[in-house]
Amino acid sequence: MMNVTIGQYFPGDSFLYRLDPRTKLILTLALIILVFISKTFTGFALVFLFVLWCAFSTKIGLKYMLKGLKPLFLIIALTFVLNLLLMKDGAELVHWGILRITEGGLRTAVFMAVRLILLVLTSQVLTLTTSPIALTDGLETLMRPLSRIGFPAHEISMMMSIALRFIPTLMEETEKIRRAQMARGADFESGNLLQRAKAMVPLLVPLFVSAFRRADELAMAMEARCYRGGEGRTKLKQLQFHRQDAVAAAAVVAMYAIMIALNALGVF
Amino acid sequence: MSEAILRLRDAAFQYEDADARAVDGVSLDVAPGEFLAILGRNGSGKSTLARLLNALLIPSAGSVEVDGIEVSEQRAYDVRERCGMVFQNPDNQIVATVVEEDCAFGLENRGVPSKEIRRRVDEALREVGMLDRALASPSMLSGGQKQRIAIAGVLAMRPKIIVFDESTAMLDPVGRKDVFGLARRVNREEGVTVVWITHFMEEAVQADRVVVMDKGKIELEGTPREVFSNVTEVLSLGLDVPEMMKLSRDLRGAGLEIPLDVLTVDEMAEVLGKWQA
Amino acid sequence: MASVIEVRHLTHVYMPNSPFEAKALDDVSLTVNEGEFIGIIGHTGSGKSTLVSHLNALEKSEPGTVFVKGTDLGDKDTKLTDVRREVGLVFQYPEYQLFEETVEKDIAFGPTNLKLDEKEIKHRVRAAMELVGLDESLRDASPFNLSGGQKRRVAIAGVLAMNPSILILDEPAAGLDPAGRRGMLELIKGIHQSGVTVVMVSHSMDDVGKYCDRLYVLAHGKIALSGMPAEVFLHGAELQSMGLDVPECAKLAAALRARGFDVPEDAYRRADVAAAILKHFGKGGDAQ
Repeated sequence: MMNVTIGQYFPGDSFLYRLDPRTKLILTLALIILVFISKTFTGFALVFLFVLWCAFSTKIGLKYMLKGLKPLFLIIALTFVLNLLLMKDGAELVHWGILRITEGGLRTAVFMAVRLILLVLTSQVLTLTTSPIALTDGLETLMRPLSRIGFPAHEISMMMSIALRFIPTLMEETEKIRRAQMARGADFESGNLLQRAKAMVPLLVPLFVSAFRRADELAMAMEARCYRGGEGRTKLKQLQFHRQDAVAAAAVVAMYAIMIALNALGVF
Repeated sequence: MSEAILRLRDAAFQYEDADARAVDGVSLDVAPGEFLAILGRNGSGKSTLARLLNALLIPSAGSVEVDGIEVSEQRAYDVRERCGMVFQNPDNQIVATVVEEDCAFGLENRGVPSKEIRRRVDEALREVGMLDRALASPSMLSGGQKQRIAIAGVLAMRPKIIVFDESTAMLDPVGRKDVFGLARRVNREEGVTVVWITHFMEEAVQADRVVVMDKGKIELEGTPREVFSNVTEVLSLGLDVPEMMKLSRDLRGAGLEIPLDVLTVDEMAEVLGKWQA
Repeated sequence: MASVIEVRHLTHVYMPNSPFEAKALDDVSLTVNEGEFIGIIGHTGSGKSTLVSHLNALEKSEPGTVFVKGTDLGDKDTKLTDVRREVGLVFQYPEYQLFEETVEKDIAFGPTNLKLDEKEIKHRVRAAMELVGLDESLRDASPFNLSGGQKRRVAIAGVLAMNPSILILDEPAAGLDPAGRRGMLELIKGIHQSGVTVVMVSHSMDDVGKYCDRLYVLAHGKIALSGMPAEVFLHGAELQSMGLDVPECAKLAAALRARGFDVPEDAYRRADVAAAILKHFGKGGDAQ
């Protein structure tokens, strides 16, 4: 009965959802590069406007998107503090013992922090609006040319989708085994770190045994259904570019043009 | 009887690390459109036999012919296309995270064009009554529903034969009846030949023919009535017989001359009712 | 008879206040008396798995109370190890919980968690193996190399080694072949006869009819029927509407009664129905 959201997919339907996953993968990459090449805060504001539009056009909401920053808070804070203290450039703002904060330092610190935040937010747009299966499909298709030089594009995407398929099953199984061992008096909650790690053995061994058994049976079932690797395989859903993909691409190209202009003008 | 669709001649198989053959000289013909039940205790060789029919295993001696094709390494995929298989554990045979994607898996492997896959997947899902769940995640389905998806995946391949390897063993009675009923319908309406491997004699009694295996060999064979009337023998092979057959054996033992082959409650009530009159 | 388990007005809601909210148990009350063999019938989704988890304090009882030998499991001061020492719980497909290198070590897991001394543990392991019919020679075998039926026996022995006075089994015969099923049910009968109170959850009316003293039928989280097997089996149509069945001989008994035979209402076992038929035809009651 466990509901696991992987890759934080947020089910919905809007312009962004209907885009081809390949378009979204490529454009996300383009936006990340855009964030990197921006030299101005106005440029960041442009990207942030885009994130805002995504948050509201999809009904995901900015609040939900900002939640995704939580695990990265430490890294962002650290980047901010290090830049603040180590960059020395321009007028002095604070001088307190060996601590010296300069105007240039503050600017770089804020700049780097904003850049990181925008990176996370833009890549989140991708994971929030693309189901894991569409993501694997898109990745496989994009990587397909690489399979000519021996890159296992199909195998990697098959592995990813099987992993996605079995995560809920194995979560459920973990819970069952946990209960069974608790009924035999196992204690998973108390004790020091070492004792707790040891207490996991009765949970992990059966879980691995079962995972191997499942893998074995699944392999057999796949073979019985004529599976023999990616060669000559077709797809139920052929990925297809539509008009909206061109619109999205054009929008990103326009953002690039504005960004380059902003950089050249050297606006704040 | 028309030409057999499954033809086994002294078929045998031995696993590498085993000291005895798992299937030991089985000869058997299955007619097109037949519903054949295979019974046998655990380790009697029935699952190994099933795998020979699908070219998951290649016979180490003798021959297995599926729709005129001799099972061999080279023709494995042709055999699998003609003879689909549904396994025991509903969880471990579903590959995809979306029902319709799973149903399409076999067709994708065979390189069928997308449009044709779409058509056949929808048709198969409708057939098993799961079209409205086409976009659901399999992990949200019940065991019986998962087995329906597995059957749809096989049906989409349009096989001539489907082997069910204890496909109801892990289901509850409702799911069991449901999946068995579906197999019966596919057999009757689509003319698909069914090999139904099971422990449940209440399923086996509904088959056209029953084969009982033990130690890799066929021990008993015939209509359910013929096979199950050997009450003592069937029990000694680690199986069960219909309760009514046990009852008629008991009644005969006490001097009441009931026919031996009373299979169902209705038949027994009928027989006893006539006697009363 | 003293009651050893007392469930009062137990309700259990899964994922409350979410779109997945579901009532697994709805005002369930039941009693298990000392020395009884109770059957709980219901299919997947009827709430039976949730119910047995409650009996072992693996779930919290909110609305409702569960008493085991007079102890309220919802009470904060109740020590869970004490409950689990008293109530042994064997889940469905228990062989999937095996993890140790040897059969002996695996069975010893429970007693070791109870912090018993080594001599006592050894003694209990031996006794439990004997009770489930595992040969001494298997003590040092790896549980993973055993047959399916033997693995399950090891898992049951692992619970019995905690010396519970109440044993709860969820579908103990699931997935076994007919001979394995019979063996497993006879084994449980033996455990019951050794003085343990048994609660068996099952899909099979035949099995509970054959072995249980009293039945509870669970449907959609509620107790739909309860009583002696004969009483429950009289509700054939109701059971069928719940997707459950009645033993074949109970069906025959009903069919024969409709034809004017004198078959007593409490006849549902084969021997009883056979005796009634023979009596009807004047053959006396000498059926086996």
